[in-house]
Amino acid sequence: MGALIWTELKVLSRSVEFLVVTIAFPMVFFLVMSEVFGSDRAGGLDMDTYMMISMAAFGAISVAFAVGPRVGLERQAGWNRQLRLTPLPGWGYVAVKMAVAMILALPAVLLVFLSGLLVKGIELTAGQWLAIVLSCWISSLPFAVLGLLIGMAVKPESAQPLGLAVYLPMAMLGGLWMPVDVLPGFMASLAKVLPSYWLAEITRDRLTGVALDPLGVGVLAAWFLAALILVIGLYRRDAARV
Amino acid sequence: MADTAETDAAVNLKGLHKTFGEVRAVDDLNLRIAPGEVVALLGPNAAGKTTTMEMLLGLTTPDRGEIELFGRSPRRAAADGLVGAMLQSGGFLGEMTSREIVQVMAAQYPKAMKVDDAIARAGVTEYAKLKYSGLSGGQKQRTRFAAALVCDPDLLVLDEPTVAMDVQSRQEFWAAMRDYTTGGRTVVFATHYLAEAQDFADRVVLMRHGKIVADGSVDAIVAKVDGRTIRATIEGTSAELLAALPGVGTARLRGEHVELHCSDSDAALHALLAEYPRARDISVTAMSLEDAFVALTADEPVMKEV
Repeated sequence: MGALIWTELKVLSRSVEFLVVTIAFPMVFFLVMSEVFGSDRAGGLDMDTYMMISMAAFGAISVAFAVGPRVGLERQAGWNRQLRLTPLPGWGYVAVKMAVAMILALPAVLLVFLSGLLVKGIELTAGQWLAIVLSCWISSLPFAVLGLLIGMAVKPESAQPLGLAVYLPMAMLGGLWMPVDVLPGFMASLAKVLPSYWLAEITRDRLTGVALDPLGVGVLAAWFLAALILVIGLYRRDAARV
Repeated sequence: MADTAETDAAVNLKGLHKTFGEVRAVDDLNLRIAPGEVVALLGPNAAGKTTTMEMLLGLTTPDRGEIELFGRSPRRAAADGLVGAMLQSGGFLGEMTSREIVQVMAAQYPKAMKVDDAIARAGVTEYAKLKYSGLSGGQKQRTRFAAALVCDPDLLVLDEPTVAMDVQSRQEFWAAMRDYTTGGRTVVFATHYLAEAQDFADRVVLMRHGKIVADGSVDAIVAKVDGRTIRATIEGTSAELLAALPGVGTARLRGEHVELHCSDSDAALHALLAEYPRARDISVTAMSLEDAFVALTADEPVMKEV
C-alpha cells in the first residue's frame, strides 16, 4: 500500500496544474478575499482569521474533490482491474485513495495558514496553530471519501462536473466564502447539516475557546460513514461487474 | 486418485456459464489445465475467450460453475501471488513510467522478482523511464508483460498478448516467454494468430459460441478435421463441376487455380485426373491448423456430405 501511495503522490506532484490550481489556489483566494472583507469581525474572530480558516477548509475540500474523481480515470484505464489481480485487498485500494487525498490536503491547508502568519501577520500561539491545523485536517476526512465516491459513482467524464456541482454549493452554503450570518435564515440552518460548515466551525472553535460541538462531530461522522458505505458498495458492484 | 489430480490442476473450470443479456458468452465450459502446460485459446471474435479468462481470474463472476486455480479460488490464488495476467481490459495510468508501473505491481507481492529483472526479461529496459502514455502499442504490451511477470507467477494468463506488436517485437516476446516457461510454469493465452498457437502452445483449445469445439495438440486438432487439400491448375472448369467429383467436400476456384477440400483425397485425385488429364501443378497436403480452424469454428460446416 505504501508503494501505491508513494507512486500516486509522485505522479500527482509532476502535474503542475494540480499543484498550482488545487493546492495553491485557496491561499490566493484567502489573500484576495481577506482584502475584500476588510476589518469586520465575524464569529468572535477578526475577519482575517475567520477567512483564513474558511479558506484552509476550502483548500482541504478542493484537494479531496480533485484527487477522488481521478479514480474514474483509473477505472477507465483498467488500473483497478489490474490491481484486483494482486494481493491488494479491496479495502486497501480504498484506503490508498483516502490516504493520498489526506496527505495532499495538508500542504493546501498549511499554505493558507502560512500566508496568514507571514502575509497577514495573524498572531496565534504555537498551540493554537497546531490545533487549527489538526482540526482542519482531520475534519476534512469526510471529503476524502466524498471525492472518492464521486469518482466511483459516475463515468470519468462526468466526475469533474459532478465534483464541482457538489463542492461549490457545499463551500458556499457551508459559509466558507462568506460568513453564514450573512446568508438568509433557511440557508443558515441548511448549513448546519453540511460537513463543510462544521469543518470550518469546529476549527474556528479551537480559537474562540468553544468546546467541541457534539452536533458538529456527529454531522462530520455521519457524512464520513454514509460516503464510506456507498464507496464500499460501489467497489463491490465494480468487482462483480459483468 | 481422481481427487488428487483435480486439486493439482493449475486451472480447473467446471460447468461454467455466463450470459450477457441474450448472449451466451460462455456455455457449459469444462477445462482442466495441468501445471506446466502452455495452452492457446483460439477462436473467432465473441467466441468467449476473454470472458473465460476474466472468470478464471475472478474479475467476472460466472452465472454458474466452479473455478479453481491450484485448488483455490481465483481471489485466493491472486492473493497468494500465484497469478500474473495481461488483460485487454486491464491497463495503467498514462502518467506513470513503465518502471513505476512494474515497481508498484512488484510492491504488492511478498515475493516478487527484482523490478529490473522483470523489465529486462520483457525487453522494456530501453524505455523504462518513459511515460506509459507516450509508448507505442507494442511497447505498452511489453510493459504489461513485465507487470504480469514481476510477481514470478506460477500461472500466466495472457489475453492477446502480441496484439499491437510488429513482427520483430512479436518474435522477441515469444522468445522471452519460452525462456520463462522452461521453468515449468503454466501459461494460458488467447490469440488470433494461428502461427503463435502452432509454434508456442503444447495444447490448443478451440472455442466457438462459448463452447470448446476442439481440444488437443496442434496435430490432434488438425487430424480431427479429417481430410486433405488438393491444389491444381486446371483450365475450363467450374466450382460446381469440381465439387461434384467423388471425395470432394468443397471446391474453390480462383481463375485457373483450384482448391479442393476432400474427405477422400485418393478418390478425388483419381477422378480429377480422369476428368482433367491436363491438370498441372498438383499438390496434396494435409490440412493446416488454419484450415482446421476455419472448419471447426465456421458457423456453416465446411465439410459437406456429397
